[in-house]
Amino acid sequence: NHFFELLPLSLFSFVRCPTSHPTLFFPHADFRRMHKRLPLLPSLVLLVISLAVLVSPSEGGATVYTQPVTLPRTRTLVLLNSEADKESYKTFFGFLESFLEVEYRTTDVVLQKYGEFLYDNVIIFGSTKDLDLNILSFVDGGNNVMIVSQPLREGEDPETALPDYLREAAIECGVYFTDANVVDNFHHDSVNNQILTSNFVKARPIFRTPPKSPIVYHGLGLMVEKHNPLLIPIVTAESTAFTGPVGDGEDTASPQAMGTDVALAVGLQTRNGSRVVFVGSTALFLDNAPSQNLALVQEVTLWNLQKRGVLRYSEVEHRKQIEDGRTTYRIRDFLHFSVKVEEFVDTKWVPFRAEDLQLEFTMIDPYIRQSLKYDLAKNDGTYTLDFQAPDVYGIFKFAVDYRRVGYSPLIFYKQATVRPLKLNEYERYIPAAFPYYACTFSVMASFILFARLFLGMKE
Amino acid sequence: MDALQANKIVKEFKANYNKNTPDRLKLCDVFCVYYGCLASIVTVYCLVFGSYPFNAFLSAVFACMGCFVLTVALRMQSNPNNAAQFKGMKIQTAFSHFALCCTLLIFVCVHFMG
Repeated sequence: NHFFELLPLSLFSFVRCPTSHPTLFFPHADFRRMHKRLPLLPSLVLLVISLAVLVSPSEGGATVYTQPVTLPRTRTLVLLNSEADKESYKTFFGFLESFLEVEYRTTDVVLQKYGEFLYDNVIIFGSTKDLDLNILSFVDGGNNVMIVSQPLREGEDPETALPDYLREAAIECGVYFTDANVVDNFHHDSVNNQILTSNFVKARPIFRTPPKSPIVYHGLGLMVEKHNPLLIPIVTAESTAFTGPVGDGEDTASPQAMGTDVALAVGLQTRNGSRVVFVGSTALFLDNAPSQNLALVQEVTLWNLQKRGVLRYSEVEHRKQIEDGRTTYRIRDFLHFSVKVEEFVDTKWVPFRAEDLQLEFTMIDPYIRQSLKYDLAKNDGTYTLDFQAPDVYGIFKFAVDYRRVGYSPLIFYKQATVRPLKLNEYERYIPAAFPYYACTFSVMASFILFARLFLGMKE
Repeated sequence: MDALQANKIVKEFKANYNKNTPDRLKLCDVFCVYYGCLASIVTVYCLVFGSYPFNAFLSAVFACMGCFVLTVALRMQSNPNNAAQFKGMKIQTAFSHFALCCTLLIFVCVHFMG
């Protein structure tokens, strides 16, 4: 280590010091005696430091890290349009109250006080008042929001379905609430605007068992921004659906969205783990709705409140495969990486099982990118990988970046140094170089022979 | 005609060399040729099989070439025709210089070989 680098420096300072100015440091002293003692001090300090570095212990063995644990968040605010709504949605609110602390309000809402959030989840349930809340900063703080709009009634303006501040918040997230209800002339219930759909997103975290029968929907259609990797259209309409009509008779505009582009419920998974769900109709949650409606609503709400599809990592360990006392990694070393990944499902953490969890061993670019193998023997969510470090030295990262539909992003990295070979760690007596060894030693032998012959000659 | 003349020149050169060169110089020449052959063999091996431990190759070539040069210098110093140029240096002094340089050279080459 660094003793041999610091030693010449300390000796150099010993030689260099007579040119420094002792007057600045010891104005009262007698300089004739000081001048002899002063050069010694910095060099002694440097020697002591170099000896301390020599003696100090090197880095420890296998490194193990754990993610901090998050607390359960149960403070929920439900924003209603009027107090009477509590009676119409008793089943849904009963479901919420079974595992959350729910507070019902219609006005006079404060989300944030003195820099802290007063709630963990907010469900805006068909509220049409212009409360002008800062929903997005609430989401950025790691909290969950569900925005449910009213279905549009006959002959009413679109503003009565959803207030403007919520429309704007939705647009910022990439979701556009259209101005008309969804209509489907081929897949509908008794009335044309009670449409049926069985298009549900195929994501295990949201629908552990996909709903078997179609749901009945009466409400606004949503349009989802394309190419946004954070948005998930959870429920979309059938291909024969469209939003509209807007306007009467000759003023009728063409539909804003058609076919499977019409989304009925959209989820947004943010990068910090919080979730936002936009639903176009409160009628989905009604007590007298069909049972598959209520089942769908419960599953979506569980996903929204981060009770499903939340991943966490723990017990990250990276070490060499062979324990031989050497702690630092070297080029072409055989390394072992293991991490435990768990998924939160409804009430508890269970081992997470996936075949495509990847580890990247990267220094600016990934040199190794391989799938982690699930450890079936332990079966508690441990994934391991054995690989060989590349023939490149530098500061590497063991990085895992796992983003899948419906799951919270699992992103972490641990830094590791990979050093080049020391001078005494290179190969010796390489078989390919035996001719060269033979040549040099034959030159040596021939010199001895030459000397014997040359000096023995008579002249 | 040119081939015959070249042949004759070579024959004359060989006869003159065998008759007129002292033994010491012939000894130096033999070893010079030996070092040259060694260097070329090693270079051919490197060209064919690749230069993987390049430092070993360099050390072999450098040892050969260095000793070649030193032997040539010793040959020059031990040639009685050049005695005036070297101001009457004894042959033993010349050889001791040669031995010291050769030792140093081979020491460095064995180290560099790894």
